[in-house]
Amino acid sequence: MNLVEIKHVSKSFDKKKILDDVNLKIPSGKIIGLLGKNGAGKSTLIKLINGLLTPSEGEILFKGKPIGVYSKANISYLPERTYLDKSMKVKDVIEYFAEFYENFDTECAYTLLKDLKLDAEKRIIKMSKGMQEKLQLILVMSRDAELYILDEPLSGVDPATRDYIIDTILSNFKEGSSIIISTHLISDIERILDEVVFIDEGKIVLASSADDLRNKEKSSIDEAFRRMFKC
Amino acid sequence: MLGKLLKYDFKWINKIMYVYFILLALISIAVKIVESLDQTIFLVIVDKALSSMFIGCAASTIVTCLIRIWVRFINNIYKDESYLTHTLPVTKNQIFNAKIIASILSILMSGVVVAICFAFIYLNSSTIDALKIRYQSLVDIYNSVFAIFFIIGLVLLVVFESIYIMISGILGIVIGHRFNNGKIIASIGIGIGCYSLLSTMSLVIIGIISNVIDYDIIGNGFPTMNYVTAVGLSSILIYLVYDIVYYFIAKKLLNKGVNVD
Repeated sequence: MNLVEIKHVSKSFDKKKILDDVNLKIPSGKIIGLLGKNGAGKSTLIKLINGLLTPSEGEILFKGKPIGVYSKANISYLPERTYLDKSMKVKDVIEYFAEFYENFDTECAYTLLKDLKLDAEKRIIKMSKGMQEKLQLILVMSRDAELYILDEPLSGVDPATRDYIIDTILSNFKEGSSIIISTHLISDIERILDEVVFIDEGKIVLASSADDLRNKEKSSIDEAFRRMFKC
Repeated sequence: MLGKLLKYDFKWINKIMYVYFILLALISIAVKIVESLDQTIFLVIVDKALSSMFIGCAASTIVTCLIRIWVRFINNIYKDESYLTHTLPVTKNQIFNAKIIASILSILMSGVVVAICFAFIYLNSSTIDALKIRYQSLVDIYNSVFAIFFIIGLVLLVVFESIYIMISGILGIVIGHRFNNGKIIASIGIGIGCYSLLSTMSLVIIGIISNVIDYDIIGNGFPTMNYVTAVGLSSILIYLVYDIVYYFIAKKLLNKGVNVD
């Protein structure tokens, strides 16, 4: 069974169509790159899968069920913005996640905090944006979820930290789970991708295995992407 | 899950409120101490200043509580924090109910603290005697059971009216955030509109009831028991109905789906 099925989904704001008749199946146990230019509709699609937006048309199913409590308990989502209550301390946020998510591993979270040299006693408001993003990544990767959705996890991060983030994702990614990574920094993540989905102007223009695409185009995914979306 | 949501909402709303509660308590004690001393002109001035501070602080306590309720709602449902709220494994109903229950409890708590501090300052043997006389005149004109219900009715009316102000604001936010632009201005405008609309309607309804029931003075300026019962009960019921109606409208709109910023 597919983890996520997106059936004829469209999303409009006012009269502008952001997503147009999107059909996509996300299988289990794969790392999928959701790739597209800025404003292509990647974040909108991710928000729809997470129930942050409601589709104008079509439906999204998680393991055959509509998006709701069950999907939210099993999808671990890293948004592109900082979403924590800034008045809380790091340890309070960890307690908050442990209370709401049954699959949250507190021990894992504290280990990652130590690895990334984050202070559990620190208030979030006193942390830099980069530190807040690292904390969010820790919270997301400390869950034993069936699907991890990471929206632009590498944007605004220096190359050294990018590698660290990718390693953190790979070493904490639970076996049998899937990851959707949305980004336009393709070269940084293409080595870890099993599948790629190209999105442009609200439409899925390509969905393929990463190896098939490399063989077919006889180039890296980054080069194939650049060719396809050349301005 | 409702309990967990409720705990975090209540904690956030009241985090700053405890500062106001401590301030109210300190001012109350200060007023009490000043009033217990021999009254010189200087102390009379100090007493008046402290009493004014108390009134200002009491009003700020209630206003701040309401504002924190609305800010929490906007932050959690529509702003950055909504990315966490809407991805928690809970239903939209649980999210909404937790916020409403936490809001009602917070308003009640602030109201009770203000009332206790007020009583601490102003209740003394002479005011207690004056209240007793007032209560006795109610008992003499009507009866003791009616007098007790009259006081309970007044308290209920204040509570339902406070909830009505809070829920009007919440409904304003829910409708205002369905617009793509000028959400905050729309929320404030619609909130005030929601409050004014039904408040005006309640005045009309009370006016009609007053015309239907005979208004006779039966002593010390008090109207008949039938009149007080009809107007009092209908006022309480009207606000209770308004609270419930606005609660269901806001919940239904929220359940239709939220488009976060």
